[in-house]
Amino acid sequence: MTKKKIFRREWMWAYIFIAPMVLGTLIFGIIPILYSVGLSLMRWDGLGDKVFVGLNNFINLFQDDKFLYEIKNTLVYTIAVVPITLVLSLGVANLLNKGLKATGFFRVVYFLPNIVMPVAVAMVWRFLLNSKVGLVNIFFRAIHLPTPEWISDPNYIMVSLVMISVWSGVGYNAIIMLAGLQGISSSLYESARLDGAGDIQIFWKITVPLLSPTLFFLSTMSIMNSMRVFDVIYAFIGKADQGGPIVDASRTVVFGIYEKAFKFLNMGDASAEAVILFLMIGVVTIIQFKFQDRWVFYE
Amino acid sequence: MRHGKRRYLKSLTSYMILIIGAVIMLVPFVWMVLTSFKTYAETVKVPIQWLPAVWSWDNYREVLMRLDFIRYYGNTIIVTVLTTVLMLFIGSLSAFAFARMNFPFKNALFYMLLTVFMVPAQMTMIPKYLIISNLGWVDSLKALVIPNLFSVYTMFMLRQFFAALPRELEDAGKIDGCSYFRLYWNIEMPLCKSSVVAITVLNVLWCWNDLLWPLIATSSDKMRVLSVAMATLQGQHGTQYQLLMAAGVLAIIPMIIIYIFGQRYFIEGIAFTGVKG
Amino acid sequence: MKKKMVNAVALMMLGILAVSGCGGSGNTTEDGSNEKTANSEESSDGKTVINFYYWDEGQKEGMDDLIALFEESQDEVVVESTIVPWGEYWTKLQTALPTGTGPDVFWMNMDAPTYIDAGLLLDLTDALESAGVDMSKYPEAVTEMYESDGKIYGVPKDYDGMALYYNKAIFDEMEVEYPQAGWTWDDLLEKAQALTNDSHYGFVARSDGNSGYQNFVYQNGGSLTDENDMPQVNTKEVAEALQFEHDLMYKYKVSPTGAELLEFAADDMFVAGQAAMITSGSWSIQTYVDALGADCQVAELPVKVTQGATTHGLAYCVAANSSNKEAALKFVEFAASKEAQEATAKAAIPAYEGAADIWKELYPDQDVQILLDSVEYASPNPYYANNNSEVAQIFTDTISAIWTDENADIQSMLDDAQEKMMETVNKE
Repeated sequence: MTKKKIFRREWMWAYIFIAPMVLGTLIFGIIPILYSVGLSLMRWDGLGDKVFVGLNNFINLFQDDKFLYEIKNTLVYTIAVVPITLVLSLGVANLLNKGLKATGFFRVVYFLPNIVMPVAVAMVWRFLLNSKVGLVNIFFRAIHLPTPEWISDPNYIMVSLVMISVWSGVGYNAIIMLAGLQGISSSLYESARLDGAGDIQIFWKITVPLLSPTLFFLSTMSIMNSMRVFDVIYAFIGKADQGGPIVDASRTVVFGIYEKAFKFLNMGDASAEAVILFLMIGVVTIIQFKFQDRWVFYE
Repeated sequence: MRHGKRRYLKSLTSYMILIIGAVIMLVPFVWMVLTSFKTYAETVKVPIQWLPAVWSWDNYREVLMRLDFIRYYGNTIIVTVLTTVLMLFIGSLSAFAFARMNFPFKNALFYMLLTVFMVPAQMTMIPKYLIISNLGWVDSLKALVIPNLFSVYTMFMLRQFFAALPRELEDAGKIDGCSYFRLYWNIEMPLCKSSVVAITVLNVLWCWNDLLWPLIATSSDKMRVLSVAMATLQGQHGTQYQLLMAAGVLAIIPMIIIYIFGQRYFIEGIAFTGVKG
Repeated sequence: MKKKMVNAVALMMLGILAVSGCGGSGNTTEDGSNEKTANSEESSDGKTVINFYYWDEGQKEGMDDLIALFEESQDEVVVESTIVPWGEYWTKLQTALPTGTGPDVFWMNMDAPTYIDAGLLLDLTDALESAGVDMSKYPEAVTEMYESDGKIYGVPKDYDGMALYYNKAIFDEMEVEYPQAGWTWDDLLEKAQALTNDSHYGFVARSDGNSGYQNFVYQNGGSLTDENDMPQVNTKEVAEALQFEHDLMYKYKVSPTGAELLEFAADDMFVAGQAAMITSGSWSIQTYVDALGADCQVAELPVKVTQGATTHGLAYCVAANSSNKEAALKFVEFAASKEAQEATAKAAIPAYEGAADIWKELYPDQDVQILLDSVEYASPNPYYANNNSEVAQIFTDTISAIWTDENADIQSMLDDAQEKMMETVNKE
């Protein structure tokens, strides 16, 4: 067999392998995205006829104060949630990978927050964060920490939302990191230890590089998901009769998109905002892929 | 002796940290279970009433009476099993190709797949619905399963794990005359067992809790899944917290069982992958 | 080991077949309702199947009874009902209705004009007339909501009464006289002051319009819209009403503030005995009575310039592109009848005149006639001429800001809101 033939065989097999994924994503992912890009140039209430309006929707958007809050809150949320979650998850995954007793129990416990539905999560946290009678402030009072109004103070609502997201995200990310850690051969650790390396050295010299493909995946996905955060925010502040400062302090881009599309029945503005979010996430993702050579280590 | 003491101290600290974390993780969950046994008046009492005055199963009874849980469990299990099995197959196969094989437009295709994470699901829902309604799939099992099979998340994650496997495996496979499929299926998938189990657990969970798409794609009671049924307990005026919590507890019991069973594989994973390197 | 994996592959392939094959055949054979076709659907015994959506799980019993009665009354049409969760009801309608894959009959609320304008609701005028449905049997405030250009688009289902609920136990504890018919805002303030102590507030000045501030605006002779449904929120009447509620919170401290209401839902505070009085609609009575029993009592809303209350009512509507219009019309005509309305009377006050007795009997310890009578002097929720929800959201934002700001300059905030609302209502 010539080299060319071998390559061609490889191409053929590769295309067969990716075909279901690519075709399925085209139909149920890419076409809907193109449709919504198209809508960003239209005025449409989602019910009646569509009217072409050019870039009007984008102009509207940039004149809207709330859109600026949405961008700001989304960035603040992402910048807070992603690093905190990843660092804590890495710590938890490391501890769970030590072969301590009762690890199985801890794995279940750390995973619990993911199993609970977002609505229930929001509801439970509303009770726990209640400034007067909630458990968090009871505890804070006991150890002489300030006891802010977590839910009703616009200065703190984002802190609360970040806390809840970290709480529910740690177990999730730790599970994936744990899978990565288990792929690292224990013989590597043993020989490093024989060479006299300490725990910290081992962590930076062996664990992090070998886990870097997983960490790259998780950081890319966490950023994308955080920039599209909606469920927890909506469950927390989405009640129909709410508005004003507290909502402005917590509304994110997808919250704005949802409000425009399904509350104000303004699919055009909603799509325009989705296009802007698309560009934002796209830029961040491209940067991440550009810089992955510097720290991601594939064998 | 000294060495042993240091080790003991080290694992003690580890336990302490894990236990504190576990308490933080557990408190909301315990609260949820306690609430599910209270009456509505007890759930809103001030100062907080921690334990119900009477431990009664009334809320569970009422939820079971109001919602046809058996049917919804059944539907949810069918949808979840079909979706996650096929999702894993489609996702891992393409992950293998992206991680291990060379072909034209590889990067372009990969980035194209990633774009699905750049647009919120709320925006693509309407066109997705138009597609399934043109296909005549509305309110069918197909509508619940097929549009969700193409998990770029699964593909991306497994691609990272496949890419981290040593290259020698591949050459060994080629020399043996292994076909690509067998290389994928017999060598690389088993080596990534723990990550395959992990992503499957996460996919099962996602599928189990997914609300928006099942709600939009189906309407009849025959096709209803658990998440949608539970959402009906949240009314227009106020919420009966205790019922929602009881329903929530009922909904997650199967998840916990699956997860505890999955544990076995996590631990096996260590033993298995330990040989390589 | 190898054999196991071959088996696993075989299983997966079977799975694929199950989805594409079994799923397909299951859909076409089971019964027509799974796959929507352009033509009318038929059940296995040749009856026409219509789909019916509603959102309130608490009314399942009533709706099931209604459907059972309807199916008994004739043998051509069967109804398949679906409860769509309230939180996603409108999203669901918005996706399904325009594509013709939605329900044939469905509940509507005050958002009906948007759907009427988009041509999604069937004009029922002629059908109702030939079926002999007498629209004067329903409260005018409700029938009006579903009319446009003299055409009728909905059959009234129920309506909301509005009242002041009070916790008798707290009144007795503080030795305060119960509210009497014809009492005023001053009386409300006086009682609220007498009822407030460390463990409970006298009153809840709730921040929502329907059961909260709107009632005060109407009692002060004001309105949020003018006769052309344009916003008109910075009038003296509106400002006074909001100032009164603001004073209850911040000046007299007899009501939880806006910030407290973000932490505790108003209804929860009343049920927990944290507040002695609250304004709310008839939909709350069941929850309140379940929790408080005979301690929960009903009084008329207080008066300022006039009696005032908000009302709202739901209706059954038919999809304009329904493939089973005749069958759907049959069902809504039946649902309009006194018999049908009585069958659904347990969870909400039926719209049909005199059909409310069954509902009243559920609450023998409360004077619920007050709730029924409030519709006589009630006005509907504001519905702005254009971009209604967006305009309404501006006002909600303003209210939230007033409620959470101790030093709110209400008149100037309302002036700002008025300007923004006019801008939005005139947009496009």
